[in-house]
Amino acid sequence: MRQGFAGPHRPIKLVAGEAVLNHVAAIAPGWPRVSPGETDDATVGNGILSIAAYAAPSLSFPHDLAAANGAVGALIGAYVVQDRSLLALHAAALLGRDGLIVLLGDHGAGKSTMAVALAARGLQLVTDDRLVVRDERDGIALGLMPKLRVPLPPNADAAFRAYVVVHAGAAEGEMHYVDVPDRLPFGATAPLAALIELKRSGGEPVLQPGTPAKALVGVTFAPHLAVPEKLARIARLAALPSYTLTYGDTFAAADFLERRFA
Amino acid sequence: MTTYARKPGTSETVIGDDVFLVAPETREIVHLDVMGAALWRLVETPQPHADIVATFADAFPDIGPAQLAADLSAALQKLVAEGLVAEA
Repeated sequence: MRQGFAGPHRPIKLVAGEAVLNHVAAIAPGWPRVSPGETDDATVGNGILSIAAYAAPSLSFPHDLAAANGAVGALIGAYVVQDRSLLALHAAALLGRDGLIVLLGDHGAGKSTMAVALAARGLQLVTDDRLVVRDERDGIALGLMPKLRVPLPPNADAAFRAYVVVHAGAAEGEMHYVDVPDRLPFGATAPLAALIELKRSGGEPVLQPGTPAKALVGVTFAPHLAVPEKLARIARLAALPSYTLTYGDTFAAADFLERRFA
Repeated sequence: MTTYARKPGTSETVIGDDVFLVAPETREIVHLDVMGAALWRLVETPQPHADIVATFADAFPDIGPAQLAADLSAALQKLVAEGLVAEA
């Protein structure tokens, strides 16, 4: 089956089976559907994702929901490469009082858990995983659901567990989506206010001025830009107010960030 | 005696205190640690290995010669392996 998704300049075409497309519809409910174009930008077949929109290796997935998650990643990539003003950050983002708080961190640093914990505290969620950025100034929401890995962290409190249950989305295996209400809708933009690099350590949350350039290099997706231009764009991002948050407990850190940025 | 020099076509971007190089062949972005950044600055003019060791020995008198030589060799080989520095 073929499905067209709105891109900044032309449709993005995903080819996949019905089960995968249904999961994509569930986790990206606000992404406008359009008539598919001629070119197959991404294809999922037999659990293998192939991406033609940009240079990327094929990926295999253990189940349809994971394949749908991979396909959404390919859609985001295909969206970004259509416009030279765009790039994507492997990062979470929430809307604080002064603009977007962008959470950076290594895989497993706890970005998604932190993002959902902050959403449960009332901050408006933009993304838990991949943020589209325009001109190093604005974040663009795609209205995607965040996902968590289960079991939840043992230190998750009852309120967080209840929030995840009440707003449960699609789930398969360890992958559980959360239908966070009031997510910033597809296409909405907000200015970038701060970059926060998450670093786990023991002790109370401590926020210090940070130098995010190295982290940004690792999380910036921009295959449509020459490498020197990509670095120049990263340098502009690094000039934003930047911090390192060291913390031991995700939920105590979420309380801290809520007080500081909400 | 081996001489080390910057590989032509390597581009450099400095962001704050961080130095990033782009290797001409792989087009990969490489972040330099403190020693790598110091070596990169030093080999702007081609340097024999002995001169590099002598420069660092003056700068780090508290580090033993064997340790310093081992650290420098590892750092130089990393730069060579990443396609940023040529040895001749």
